[in-house]
Amino acid sequence: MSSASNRKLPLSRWLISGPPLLYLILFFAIPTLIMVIAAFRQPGDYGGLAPLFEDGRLNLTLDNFTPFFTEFLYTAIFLKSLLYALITTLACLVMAYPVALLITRSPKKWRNLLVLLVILPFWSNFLIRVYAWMIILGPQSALSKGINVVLGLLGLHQVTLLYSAFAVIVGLVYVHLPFMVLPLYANLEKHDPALLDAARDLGAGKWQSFWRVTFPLSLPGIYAGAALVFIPALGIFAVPDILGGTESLMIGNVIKQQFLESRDWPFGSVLSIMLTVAALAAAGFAAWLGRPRRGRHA
Amino acid sequence: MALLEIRNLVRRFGDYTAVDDISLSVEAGEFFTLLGPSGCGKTTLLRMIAGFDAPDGGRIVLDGVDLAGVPPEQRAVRTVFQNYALFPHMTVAQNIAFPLDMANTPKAQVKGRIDEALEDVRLTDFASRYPHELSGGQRQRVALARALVTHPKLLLLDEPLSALDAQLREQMQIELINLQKEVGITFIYVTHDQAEALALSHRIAVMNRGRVEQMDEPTRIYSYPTSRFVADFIGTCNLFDGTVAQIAGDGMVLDVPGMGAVKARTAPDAVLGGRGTIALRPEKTRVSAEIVRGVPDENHFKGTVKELLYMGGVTVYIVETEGGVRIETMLANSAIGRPRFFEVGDAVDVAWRVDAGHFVPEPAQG
Repeated sequence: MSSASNRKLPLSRWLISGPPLLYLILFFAIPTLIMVIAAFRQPGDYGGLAPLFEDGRLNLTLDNFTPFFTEFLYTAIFLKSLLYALITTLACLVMAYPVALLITRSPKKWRNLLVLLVILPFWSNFLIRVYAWMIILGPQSALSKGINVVLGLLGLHQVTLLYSAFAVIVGLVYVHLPFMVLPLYANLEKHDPALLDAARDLGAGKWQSFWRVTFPLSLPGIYAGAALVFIPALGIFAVPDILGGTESLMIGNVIKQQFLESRDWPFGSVLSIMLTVAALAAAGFAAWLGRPRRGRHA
Repeated sequence: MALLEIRNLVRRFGDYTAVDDISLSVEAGEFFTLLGPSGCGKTTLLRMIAGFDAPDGGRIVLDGVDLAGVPPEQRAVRTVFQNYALFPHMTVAQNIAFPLDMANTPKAQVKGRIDEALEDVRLTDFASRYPHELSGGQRQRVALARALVTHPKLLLLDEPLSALDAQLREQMQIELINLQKEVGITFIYVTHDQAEALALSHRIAVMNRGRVEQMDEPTRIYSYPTSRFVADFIGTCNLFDGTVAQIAGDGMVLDVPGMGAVKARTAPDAVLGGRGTIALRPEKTRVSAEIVRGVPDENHFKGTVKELLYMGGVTVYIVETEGGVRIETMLANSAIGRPRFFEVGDAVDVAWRVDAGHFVPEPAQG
């Protein structure tokens, strides 16, 4: 019986893992490889790429990397994108933690409903929701007017909310918030409530119980949420496109420009590679922080 | 005045009364046990003493201080939780240091106090281990050390041995008794295991449906249960329900359907014509092959061995009387040359002295 099942197992494994593996090869591994090769190819005369073989030899170059390392503009945008993504991650963490905690401490019958409310925005189109922020932050909005009235009373300069770094970060936080709430909730929900009773029993107030017990135990959830927010926020172009001004471009916008407007595919590929490296570094860092340690078990 | 005074304590959850007008007092240095089946209110009572739950009525007074409104962190009470609730991200030493930190113990003292606590529970070599690297018994001891390190007035233990296997449980029971003697701290111990309660406690409160059925020393609880529930819950007991047919001096007779007259010592609360139960422990019976009649001060019933449970040192015989009543009896396997005295189908005589059975009147209807 065991030999029969042993013989059957590999096939069933292939049937289960085959389709996703094929998907990843077709739509992730191969495109990445194409992009990496494109970074070393010559740009075509009218955009796109020059032929890979010319005069019977490979037509590759390292020149595409030069602007990235010599022109400060790209480094600056890259650093700014990192900063925006970092601020977004921190803002999401600060806003998501109380929400996740609230859901965890709610009566069981309410929890699923509350989680549903968190993911409810996904039911409408992402772009439409970002456009909604154009109206909310626009000069005619109650929010803008209200802020400016207050600023006026205080004798301060009037501000424009839309088309600013502020608007971009508001958009980024809004879009990514659920990705922080869900892993945090998944973590907090597993905590043994007896641990909090124990902390109180041993003399800790509510605040100390949180910082000494709940928070350290939730670190794996924080790292997971941070990775899920930071990495997509770093590469996004739609939000700065819609809500940002010329000053608040992110690296995603530049990459999009290289492919669609400047039609410099090799340089666009170079920037994409740099973005991938940065995202991998961030994911690696989060994984390292959240690694299983002696003192931390699920 | 007792260390802990509980007066008319009530806790309701909706229509359900979990703790129903309980009053009790626990003396300093006592090992006091709350014993009862699940849902009897013992854990709710414990949580109210610890401060995790607030009573709907009544008072809890610890060492002269009313605990109403005092949050758990400000009570001189510590709890050992059922699953120990050790902090998984802290080492053994860090776990034990936690209550010291919270009490702002001077840094210079902390190390010494931790070492002392670890020594008390014989875990000196485990200070830098994490909880998941310990066995169940070791975790149990860390929980005890953590709870005792700040010398509370009262230690609450919520079924602390229920997660351990039988052999370890017995060993931990002995350790608990010794530890309690050593540290001299008052223990309130919650369990549903009557054997554990009998073995550990100075006094036991047997709880049922949110009320205390009986509160006394283990030997008295076992020998002189005051209610049918207690007799049934503590150990094994034959319960003969019937009507009081005769009271004469210190002797009384209960008319039991299927048995007829069962003699017992007159209980102070027995009333002629009233209903009640005679509780008889299996080990207080005598089983013999020859039918003896007419011995004064003894009950005799003829019967047949219907079932037996061979348990090594003793055998439990279920004897069915001619009237169809089953009596559980127990005999040490002291017969020479054979494993036990009787086999299924043997005709026997079951006897017990009138003072072996204990009469419990049926409570007034209500």
